[in-house]
Amino acid sequence: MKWACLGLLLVSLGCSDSDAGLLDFQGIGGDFTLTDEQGQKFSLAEHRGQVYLLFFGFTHCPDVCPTTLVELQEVFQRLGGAGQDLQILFVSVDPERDTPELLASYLQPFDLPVIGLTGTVSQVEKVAQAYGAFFEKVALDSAAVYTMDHSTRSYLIDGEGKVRYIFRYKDEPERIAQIVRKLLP
Amino acid sequence: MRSLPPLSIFVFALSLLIACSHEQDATAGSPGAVDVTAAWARPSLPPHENSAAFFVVHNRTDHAVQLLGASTSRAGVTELHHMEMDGDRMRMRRVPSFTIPAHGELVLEPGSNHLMFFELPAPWVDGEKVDLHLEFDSLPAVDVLAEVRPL
Repeated sequence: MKWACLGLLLVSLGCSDSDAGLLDFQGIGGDFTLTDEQGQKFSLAEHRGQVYLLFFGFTHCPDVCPTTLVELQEVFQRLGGAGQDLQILFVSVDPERDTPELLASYLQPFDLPVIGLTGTVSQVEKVAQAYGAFFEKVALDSAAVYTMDHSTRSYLIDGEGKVRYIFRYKDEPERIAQIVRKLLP
Repeated sequence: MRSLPPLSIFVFALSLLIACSHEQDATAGSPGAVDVTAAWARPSLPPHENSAAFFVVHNRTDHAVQLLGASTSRAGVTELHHMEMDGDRMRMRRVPSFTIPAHGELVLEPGSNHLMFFELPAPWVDGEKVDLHLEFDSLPAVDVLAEVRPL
C-alpha cells in the first residue's frame, strides 16, 4: 500500500529527475490564446524558445498579487543578466474588470518584463482549467463589490511550451531563481 | 437654610473631581491601555483605487478589546479585511471586527489581516504618512500615522 502511494506520487509528479529539479507534468499546461495589455493577440504557440513564468491574479487584488510581483523583482535581481531570457505572464482571473488598458497601467510601476493577459471569462477559464488553477468570483458586502478567490501557484514554462515546475506562493525568490536558471541559456 | 461652610464646598468639589477622573478611568482605561505600533501602508497601484495598511495593536487591559472600525482622511471608505490561504487558494473577506485578546496583540500584516481602503482621492506614494483613526469597543479611539513604504 505504501509503495502504491509512493508510485502514485511519482507518477503524479512525472518524476524525471535527470534535469535535477525540473519536472514534467502530464496533462497540465498547454497552448492558449489571450489578449495582451497592448490589446494585441498573444498566442503561446507563437513564442517557442521563450521561457515564461505564468501566474494568475487580478488588479483589484489587494495583497497576494502585488506581493508576488515584488517577489518576482527579487527573482530577477538574483538572476542578473540571465533574467533577460525570462518573461512573466500575468493572467487576469478578473477579465470583467481587467481591460488591457487597466493591466498596462497596473503593471507599469513594476520593474519587470511582464505581459498582462486578459480575455473573455470563458477564455480565461479554459487557461485556468488547463493549468489546474482555480478562480471564483465571490460577492462581498464591501466597496470592493466582489473579490476573486484564486489559486496562487506560478508555472515555469519552457521553450517548447511545457510546464517544467510549479511554484507555491510561499516559495522564496532564491529557490525560484535557482530552478528557473536551469532553463535559461 | 444655612449656607455650607467653604471647606465643605472644597471637599465636595474635590470629591466630584475624583469621581470624574475615576469615571474616565472606568470607561476610557488608563493611558496606553491599547498601543498601536509599526503602522505602515503600501503605496497604491494604478489606477490608484485601493490600498492597505498594517500595524500591531497591543492590549494591556484585563479584557478582550474589539477593533470595530477605522477611517482616514486619505480614503473615502475603510474596511477591515481578513485574507487567508486555503491550501494554495487565496481568499479575502470583509470582517465586522478584529479581537485583541486581554494582554495580547493583534497583528495586521500582508497575507493576513489588514485595513483596506477604497475611493482614494489621490495616490499613496512611498515616504508619505497616512493618518489612521482606529475605533475600539470599550476604549477611546487611537490616532496613528502609517508611513507608506514598498511591500
